Parts: sequence; C-alpha cells; structure tokens
Amino acid sequence: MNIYFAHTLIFLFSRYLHIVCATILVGGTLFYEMVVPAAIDDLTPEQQLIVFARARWFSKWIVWACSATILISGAVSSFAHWDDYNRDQVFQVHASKESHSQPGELMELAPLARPGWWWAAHASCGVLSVIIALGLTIGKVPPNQPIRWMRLNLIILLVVMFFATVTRQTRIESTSPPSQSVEPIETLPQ
Amino acid sequence: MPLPIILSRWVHLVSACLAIGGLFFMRFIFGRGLGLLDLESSQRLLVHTRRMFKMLIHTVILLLLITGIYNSYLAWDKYDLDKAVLHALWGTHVLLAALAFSISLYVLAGVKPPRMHRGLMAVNFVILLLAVAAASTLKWAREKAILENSSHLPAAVDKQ
Repeated sequence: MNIYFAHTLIFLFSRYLHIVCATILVGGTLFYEMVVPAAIDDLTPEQQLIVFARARWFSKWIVWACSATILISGAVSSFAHWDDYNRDQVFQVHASKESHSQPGELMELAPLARPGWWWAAHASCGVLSVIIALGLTIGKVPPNQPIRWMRLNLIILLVVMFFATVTRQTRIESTSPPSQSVEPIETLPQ
Repeated sequence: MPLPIILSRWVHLVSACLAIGGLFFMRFIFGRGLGLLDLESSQRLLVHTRRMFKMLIHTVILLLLITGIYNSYLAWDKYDLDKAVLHALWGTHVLLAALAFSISLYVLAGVKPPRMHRGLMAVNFVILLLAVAAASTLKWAREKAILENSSHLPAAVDKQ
C-alpha cells in the first residue's frame, strides 16, 4: 500500500475520532449538567437518584472509551503536526510593486502566534478534563456535588476547544504564506 | 491573531458538540436511565426532557447556520484551489447538515414525539457523524490544497 495514502488515512481517521469523541464528552456533560437536572425537578429525590445512577452506570463505559480514544488520537495528531508545533520562525516574503524578486527573511514568531504553546495549553487542559470525567464515573458512588464537578468540567472542555481552535489557526498561519499580500510565484527569490 | 475567525470556528465546534453529544445521550443513554421508573413517571420525564432538549437544539441550529455561513464566506476563495474535491465535500457537509436539521426539527416538533422518534433519532445521529466526517475531510483537503498551491515557497523554516 502507498505509504503516503496510509499515513493520510490514519491521520484523517484519528482526527475524525478525536472530534467525534469530543462531541460525545462535551454534549453528554452539558446534557447531564443542564438538561437532566431541570427535567427531573418534579420527581421525588429517590426517583431522581435512580435516574442519575442508572444513566451514570450506562454512560460510564462511553466516557472511558471516549477518553481512551481522545488520548490516543490526540497523540497521533500531535505526532503528525509535531514539526509545526516546534517552529518559532517563519519565512516572510515582502510584497513589492516595483520589484517582484525581493528576497524574503526569517522572522521570529510572536509568542501568541506560536502553535506549540497553544498546543501545550490544549493538551494539558484536555488531560485535566479527561481526569475529571473519569473521576466522576469511577467507583460505585459518585463524588460529592457531581453537578458542580460537571459544570467545572464543561467550562474546562469549552476552554480546551478554544485552545484547539487557536492551535489550528496559528499552525496554518505559521505554515502558509500570506496569500492576500503576494503572488508566490512572482516574488520567489531566484 | 484573527479573533472573529477563531471565535466563529469555536462556536461552530461547540454547537456541533452539543447537538451530537446531546442527541447521543438523549437517544441511547437517558432512555435506559428511565428503565426503573413506572410508566407514567417515565413518560412525563421524557416529555419534560424533550422540551428542554428542544430549546437547546433550536439555539444550536441557529448558531450552526450563522457560524457556518460566516466560515464558508471566509474560506470560499480557497475552495477554488481544488474546485472538484473541495466543492463536493462542502456540498456533502451542507446537505447532510440540512438533512439532520430537518429531522431534528420534525422529531422535536409538537408536545408529544412522533411515532418513529427513536428510529429517526438514531438515523439522525449517523447522519451527523457523516456530516462531521465530511467537514473533517474538507478541512484536511483545504489545507492540502493551500500547501500544494504554495509549495514552491519556503513557507516556514524548521527550528533546526
């Protein structure tokens, strides 16, 4: 099999799995934190406990499988983009109307434009949210104040997704030339 | 750093997470949680949860439409780099999303769910997963097209 094709398939599939598992974790957390408590308000405390306990038992394996998949697929995607995350310089070509052969120069990336830093924030917060999600489903009895823990985890997950979006944006910006300012073929140094 | 682009993508992603994850738990997990309740309590709870879920889904659909249009507007010129592939993937993503929205709106319309609501929700979950696959592939193909188009430029230099 073509190696390039196999790599592409693996990285594409791992990204897809990463997104799907994230959607299930985030959506499930929000569902249990916002939709269910409001919906079971009319039930007696015993009935509320039954509903929560049963749902927790069924969602346990989903959370564990999603957490494992997220960590593995995240590692694969990180490996695929590792060079981009370690980059702190970018080659910039200056647009010039008079001369189309002006040489470019190496520019230091601003701290906020370095994808590696955003990746580190995404990965560390992501691992933290996975630990909280696993902590909520480990054992026969949920921890004290599970709704508050879920609320905290939901906020962390939203921050994690924000970091992921910024990581992607900075990665693309650091690897692509500024297409709107220059026609690449015409300004390449000969 | 272009904050509107990042925020728009983030809102799109979060909305998709809420739609897909919420649907998954509503259809496959929460129903099982009602198993030990008596029939009347279980039905009442299902209707109540459905009402809450409906409010969430309607908001999510609105956000997905707004951010989706904005994201497409921003990336539209890049889709010309490989028109056949990128337009096909974008069209598939939009078609699947439109189908999923229609099914969601139908299943959640009215006070009581339609007769086939469980089956329709399961089908909708699969459609949403396919929409995510189309979006994921579209993103990969777009990045590849951009890089290939500018491959003659030493776009960035490694640390080493």
